Amino acid sequence: MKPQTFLILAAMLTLASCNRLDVAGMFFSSGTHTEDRVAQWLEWNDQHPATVITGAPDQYNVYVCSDIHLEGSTDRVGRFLQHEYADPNGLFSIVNGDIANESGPRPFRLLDSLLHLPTATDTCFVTIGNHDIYFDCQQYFQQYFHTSTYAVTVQTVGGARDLFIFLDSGNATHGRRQLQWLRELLQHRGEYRHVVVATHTCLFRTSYNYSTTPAANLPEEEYYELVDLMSQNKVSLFLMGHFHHKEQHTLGDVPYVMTSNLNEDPSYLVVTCADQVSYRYEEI
Amino acid sequence: MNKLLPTLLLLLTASATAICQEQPAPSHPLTLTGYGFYDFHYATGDLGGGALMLDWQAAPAFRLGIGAEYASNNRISARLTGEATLLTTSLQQRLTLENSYLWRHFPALNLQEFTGALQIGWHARHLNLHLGLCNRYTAELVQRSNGGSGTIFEPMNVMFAAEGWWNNRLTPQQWNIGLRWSNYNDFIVERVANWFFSAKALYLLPKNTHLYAEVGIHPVGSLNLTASYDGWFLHLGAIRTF
Repeated sequence: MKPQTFLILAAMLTLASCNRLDVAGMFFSSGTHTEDRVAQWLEWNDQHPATVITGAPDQYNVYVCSDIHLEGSTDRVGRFLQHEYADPNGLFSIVNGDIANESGPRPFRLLDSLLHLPTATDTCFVTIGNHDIYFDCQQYFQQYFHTSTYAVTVQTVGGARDLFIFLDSGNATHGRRQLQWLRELLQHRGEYRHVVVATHTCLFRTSYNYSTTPAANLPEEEYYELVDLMSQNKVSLFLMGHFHHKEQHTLGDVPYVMTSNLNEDPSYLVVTCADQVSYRYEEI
Repeated sequence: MNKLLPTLLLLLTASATAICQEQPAPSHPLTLTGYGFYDFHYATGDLGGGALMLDWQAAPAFRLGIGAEYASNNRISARLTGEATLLTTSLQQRLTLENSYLWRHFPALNLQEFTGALQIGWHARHLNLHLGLCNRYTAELVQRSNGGSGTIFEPMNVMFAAEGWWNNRLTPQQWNIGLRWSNYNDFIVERVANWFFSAKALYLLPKNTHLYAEVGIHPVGSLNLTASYDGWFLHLGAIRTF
């Protein structure tokens, strides 16, 4: 192949990629940068009251999945939600990033419509993933889910308070403003029985499959600062996705748990919050 | 086994020299490199520090290097490198096998990070290419010694570096400038998708001393296909051969 032909093909791939792969994003973000997005999320938070779930039982379950990559069928994510609704101890569910696979508003609209079915008895909290910002998709995430940097407080009937923190790591960094927000939030750690943090990007690169090979982690300095922050504040559980398989690690006495996706290895996580936080994987 | 494997790999690298063709003994077998650095991370703030490295051409086709770095967040690093020249062409191009070990101590959680790497290198007049793999342990040694848990093992991380130089690197030059694309530096090995772009410059002073400068940027999320700016770095120092 002549060098010129190669260059033309590379340029075409970079510019177009059939709307399946945002190759230009290797060099510059085709959507917004982390700082801009976090500013938008925090502005939305300022204009809306924080979510507080009251009257929860002292022991309750939270259902967690990630990387649903909605393209055609919503069958599996629908079943995931139905399992949570059917669980008498189920309080809410979490979709931890990568709602979309390609461009356009359809995946976000599909998930939003599922969450507003008449059978939807509980809330679902959502974070943004890297696929959700390809081709400037963030606007659709924002349209349907409004924010990806927020906290939810659960108050149990027995008087315990648990804090769930949701982060935006779509660009494989949390950015300065979001880390600052997280530090400020964790200064109140003593007010809560448990603190659970959910972010899309996995902190570790401990195994390999088709998904991990191209996907990114946090930069080293941020990785170490984040695990330190989690340990210093005795975070009860750190939830991740991104690499499409199940993993569990403990570092600094903090459990780091990765959920698989709902396609090749369809499973989700059931987190039980009681005196201790425990979890188990469930297959779909 | 954990101690045996690095030793075996170093011996492998050293013994690889046995199959090399004969080369003239170097006129300057020692190279001392020292630099100060400024490293700005957008999310986590800035760092300063310094590094010192000594390379010894122990045999015509075998080089041994040691180095240490201190960063202002109390991060301490040390590395050991063995490089065997497997092949030298008539144009002085060299094919090398490099085995290196990097230890870093992070004040965060008192974490110790151990990285062992094996790389193939191609050194030409204007080009320098490296490709290899590394395994990494991140461990909380204190907590582990107290019976706690805490080891992360990250296997088979790809390491790569591509460096292009304006002037011929293989003969003495008054100055040289180059560009580098890699996912590692002297004392950091990032995961494969977090790479550095940098520009380097060398200027020859008297007494076999070069002034050295490198400035680079560090994007993140490149292979998430949503690259974002993370930071930049600057190295300023000198290289002296003896």
